[in-house]
Amino acid sequence: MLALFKAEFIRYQKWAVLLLLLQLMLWLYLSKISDLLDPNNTRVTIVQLLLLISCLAFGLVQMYLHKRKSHWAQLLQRPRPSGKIYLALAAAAIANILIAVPLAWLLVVVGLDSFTNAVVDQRHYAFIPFSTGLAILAYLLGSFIMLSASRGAFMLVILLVPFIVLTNQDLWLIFSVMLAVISYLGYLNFISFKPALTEHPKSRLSTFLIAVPMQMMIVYLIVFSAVIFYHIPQAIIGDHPAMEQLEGTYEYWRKSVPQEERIGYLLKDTESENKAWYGNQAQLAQFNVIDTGIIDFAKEGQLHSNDKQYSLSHNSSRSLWVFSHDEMLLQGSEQGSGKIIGWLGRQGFINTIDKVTDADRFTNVPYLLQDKFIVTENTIFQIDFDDKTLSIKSQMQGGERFVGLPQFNKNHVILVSTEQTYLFDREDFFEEFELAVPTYKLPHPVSLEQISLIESYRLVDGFILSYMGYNYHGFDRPGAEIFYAQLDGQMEKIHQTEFKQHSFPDVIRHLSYIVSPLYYPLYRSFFHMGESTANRQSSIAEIYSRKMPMTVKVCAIILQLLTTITVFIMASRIHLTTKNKLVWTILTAFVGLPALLSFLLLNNVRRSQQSFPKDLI
Amino acid sequence: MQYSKLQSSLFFTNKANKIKVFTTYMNVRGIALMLFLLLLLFQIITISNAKADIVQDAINESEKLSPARLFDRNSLLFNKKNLSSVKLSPNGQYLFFLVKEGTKQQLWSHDIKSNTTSKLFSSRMIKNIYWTQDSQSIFLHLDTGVAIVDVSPGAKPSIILKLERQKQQFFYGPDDSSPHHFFVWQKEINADTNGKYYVLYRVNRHGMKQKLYTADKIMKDFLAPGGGPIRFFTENYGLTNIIYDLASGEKREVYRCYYTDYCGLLSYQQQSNVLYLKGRGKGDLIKLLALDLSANEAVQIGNKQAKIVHQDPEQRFDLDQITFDPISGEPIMVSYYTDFYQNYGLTKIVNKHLNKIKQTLNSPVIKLIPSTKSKHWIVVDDNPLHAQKHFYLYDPSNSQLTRPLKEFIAGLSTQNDRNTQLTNQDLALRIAFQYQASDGMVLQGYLTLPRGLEVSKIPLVVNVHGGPFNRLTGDNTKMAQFLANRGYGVFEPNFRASEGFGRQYMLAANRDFGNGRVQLDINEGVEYILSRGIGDKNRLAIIGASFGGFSTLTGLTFTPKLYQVGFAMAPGTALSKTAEFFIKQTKEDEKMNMAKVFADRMVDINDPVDIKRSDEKSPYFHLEKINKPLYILAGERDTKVSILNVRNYALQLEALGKDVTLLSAPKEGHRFRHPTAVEAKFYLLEKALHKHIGGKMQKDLSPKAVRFLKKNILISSKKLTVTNGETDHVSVI
Repeated sequence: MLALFKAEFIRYQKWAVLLLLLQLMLWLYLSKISDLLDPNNTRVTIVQLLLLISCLAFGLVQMYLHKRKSHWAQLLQRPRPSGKIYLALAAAAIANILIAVPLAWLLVVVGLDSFTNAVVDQRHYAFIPFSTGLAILAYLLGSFIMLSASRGAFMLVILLVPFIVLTNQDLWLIFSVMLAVISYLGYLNFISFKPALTEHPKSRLSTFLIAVPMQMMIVYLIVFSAVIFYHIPQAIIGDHPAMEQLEGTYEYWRKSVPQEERIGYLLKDTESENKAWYGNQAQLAQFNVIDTGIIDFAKEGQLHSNDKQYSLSHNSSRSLWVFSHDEMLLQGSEQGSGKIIGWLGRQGFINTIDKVTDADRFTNVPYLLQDKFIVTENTIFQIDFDDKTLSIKSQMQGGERFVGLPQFNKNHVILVSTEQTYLFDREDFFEEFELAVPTYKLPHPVSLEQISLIESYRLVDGFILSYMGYNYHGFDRPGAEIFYAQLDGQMEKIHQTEFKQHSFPDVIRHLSYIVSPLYYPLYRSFFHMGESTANRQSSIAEIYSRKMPMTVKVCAIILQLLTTITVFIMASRIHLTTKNKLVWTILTAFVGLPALLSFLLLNNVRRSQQSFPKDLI
Repeated sequence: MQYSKLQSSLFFTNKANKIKVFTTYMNVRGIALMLFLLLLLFQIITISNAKADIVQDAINESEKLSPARLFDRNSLLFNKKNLSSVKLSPNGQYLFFLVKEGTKQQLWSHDIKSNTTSKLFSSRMIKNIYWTQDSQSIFLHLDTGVAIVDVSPGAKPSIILKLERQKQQFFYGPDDSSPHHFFVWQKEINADTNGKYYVLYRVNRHGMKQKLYTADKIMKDFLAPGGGPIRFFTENYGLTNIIYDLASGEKREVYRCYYTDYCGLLSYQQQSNVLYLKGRGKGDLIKLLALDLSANEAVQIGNKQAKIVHQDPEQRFDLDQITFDPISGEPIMVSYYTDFYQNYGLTKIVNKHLNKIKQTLNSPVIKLIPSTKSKHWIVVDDNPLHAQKHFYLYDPSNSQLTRPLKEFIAGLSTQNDRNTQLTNQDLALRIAFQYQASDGMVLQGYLTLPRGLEVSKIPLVVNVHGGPFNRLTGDNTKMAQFLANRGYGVFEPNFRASEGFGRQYMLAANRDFGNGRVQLDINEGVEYILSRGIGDKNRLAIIGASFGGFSTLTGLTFTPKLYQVGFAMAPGTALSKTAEFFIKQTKEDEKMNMAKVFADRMVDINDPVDIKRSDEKSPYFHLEKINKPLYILAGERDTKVSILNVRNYALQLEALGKDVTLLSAPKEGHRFRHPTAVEAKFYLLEKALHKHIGGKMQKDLSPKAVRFLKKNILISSKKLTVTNGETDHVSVI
């Protein structure tokens, strides 16, 4: 087997070395024109993505070349178990990946760490095993797609999604999951590497292991297919709700009613005492949108590729301040020479690292804003580089925390916390060295997760505020509330609206539920995990608590029953063993349509039918 | 001290009549010459004796006063809660006013009948308030448009019109001849030609617009009497302003004036067909003029002489305000910025009430709005010897003055505020006086003397006003009071070129700025003060902002023996450079006119010979002559004086080894406005004067101002220490 390993290794070695050299040249070039550790450096991201695709392609090509008829027979003629042959091939491929992928970045990081004052943390080193693991994962995925008997094997690309999207999790979690997925794919490759490539694995465990991720992808593809069978046809006939908003729906109010008329529109048929006044004032007032989106603050030690920002710069002193996760401080250096000029912690500027105390270190990774603010989850600091001072601009008390970054408009600076919205006079907020005092404190009328955004209308003595959301009154219950907040006064509720009508039919809105009620929460969590507001409307508990319309529930039940019966009949007709038949039937009873489709993809239905005795057809 | 007494003694003294008569030469020529000499002598004696009285009285009076405590810098500079825009309803029943606290305004109303004061609402948008003529509502001029609030209880303020400065939409002001209307100018675009033009609208309380006039540019002066269409407007052609009458539908010229002569539209009296104007006419002073449009209709009306309705009886000052009767439309009172402030009734009734008010208040600065329509008149006593303005209501039916807001204003201050607040006992004596320049011209100025100090030993500060076509008034005392409290005598000259004293006074500068006639006026004023035994000649400082800053640099450059230190704020360094920058900042369509104005009055930037003439007298070109410490303050957002020029000037001085300090504030403009910047400015002024001419000083400074100074003092040839009052930390800049 060593000979096979060597032969396979040498076969691709030149490519691996070539890729390594190309990367080194590229890093060398990029380091001249940009900062390689800057996560916003799209060139670096593109290179990483290309490596990932290359490894996926490598797996496909390697196994494709071996799969060719004469080659396959020659390969398996060896007096060794097929599993060992696979291990030799895979080991050779992984050895080449270890040359092509991590070495270049390792040299970059070690070089920067040893010869420059750039902030190089452990997380930068951790990116080496991460990118290597991801490359191996992509390779294994490519080889499995080529080796699998199922044409649906490509659907397992879904397994790459969490590693591309969810890199701000703790490193141990990422590496544990990565190891598990690599082992899982390794196992699938191992059992798929057999003389009869068209035969599906026979063990129920392997069937189950392939079926689960496949079914997740099937749910996604079915939901996506709504574009083809609903959205495009509706658009062609000019009847799509997005083109012709249905009056009385949330979408109609948001998109078809002009911004200055939205307040008047909501109030027109109400008993509100001053509805004409509010409507008129909203038309004449200064308009602004307050974003209530929840951002994810960076985690300590997270992979640098997930950072959303890199540094603060101060022009007059030509200094650059980069946050070090290892020190939990900002390190300042001179632009150009790179000479370290000091550190910046929670208590201000520090000249040398040996004078840093624990009280200086940030407890969370802060957000750096406008080259003058440092934002943590509960404090906003203002930096004065000239005076080398750090002052607290705003601070939350108790468990209250900021959910987003400060928003700046012409007159105000807006901060949204878990409990309320703060409006500061813009001039006051930018006033140096002082704690800013909000001019308005506006408590959230409902849970922040239910508010999509707030629209504000600036009046002489305060604001008309319109809180709204698609789930404002609960799941799938879009609505809005209007408030009148007076300066130095109270926040008075004017009106609330629930939009009972929906633009899209229930079946389209809740297609993922109808397709598979069991997978619905997983689908929501999985495909929305990359969004900045991931915790909104997609926690497992919240998803299970959702109340679906009756029509949706009936459709789901009918579909579930039909698919279960269909699978049972088909499993009987293709002569599956009783145990396998039972497993597929039960799986379909729980999962629904995706189980039926995975059943079709993981069983040779057509060939089995063709080989059936005539009397059984 | 009785101001009226001091003022009346200014010219008419017994000493003035003691003239020795010579009768040697009896021929006609000799008599004529002798008479001329006698007249000249008479004038000199009169003026010098008059000065002697008022100045000497002031010295005596001031030395007798109890010495002032060193009052807190910030309590003078910043009122925590500040009453402003106090407006009486046209029917005299309500007072509405704003209480400003930082950037927040509270609108309050006071019902005069029930004597109740109530807060309506708070806002951060209000710039000013105006009563509607029907007394039912208040227009609120906002930073985003115009709003209205009714007098009725519980009424909400409502925006009625949105205006955006970027789109060139401007609030012009209320229409006093309509019940509830105001004017706006808006830029509009012709859809066919894509050309821009401006439309004047009259807007009612519901935001309904009535198009009044279309013009190529915004007209700053017009009249639309009786709520009707535009009848008169002013257009400028080069440096000439022409008033047109649109009665016939065509533009018909009725009056024209050169830009220095001013012709402002005031009011049109329909019954008598008389147009009231404010202008110089054929004379020297700005006065109230009446143009009878019905007389001599056939003759070329554009050339006709306007009739003088009123001018300063002292023949010294330009007209300031005119009050018209809301019912008859006739002028009923005129007001002048004299040495202090003077009102004259134009009817017997108004005169009678005016005299009563003057007698009761005995204040040199009384501002009021009489009306035959209103039950009350609002009277503001802005006596410079009072720490706060006093608001009165005058009831013409019983000739009684009341102070309805007295308790309210007292209630705005906390006990802590009251401890640090200025009182009348903190304020120094301020007098207006005249002195004669070496060329014989009589000039006016103000002198503020510190309380209870021996006047001959005090250090002296000359505060030169900006402009230069501007003036200092008797009620503008903040800087003078501040300096006097620190132990300085303060001389504030209204040198020739100052406005408010007639055309001749203003134009007498004859473009001789810099090291020329105007600077001589200032220096000769200082010498006169010293000659009167005021101040220590070895402890003299010159300070000023804008033109005052230029004059400070000029004083320090060309008369370094006279002044020990200079403190220049936003100073021009050379008139040619200042003119060039100023013209560059002017709107494109006004650039040519601005260049003409500069050429006419200061320097022609298109004439190299004239530039050379001006430069030779400007401090920028004589840097080496400065040998006294100079402090320069500049705002980096200044649109009138180039910060680059100022920095360049300071850097060159530094390179020459001169003692120069430059404070360059990044967020400030021509005038420092931010409280921290203002505090820092006054601290630095105190520090500079204390160090070089030895007055008193409040050493503590807020930490914010300490940081401001440390951050923004870019040049300091001698290290400056700044004390942080809270921590007693000393920073060296």
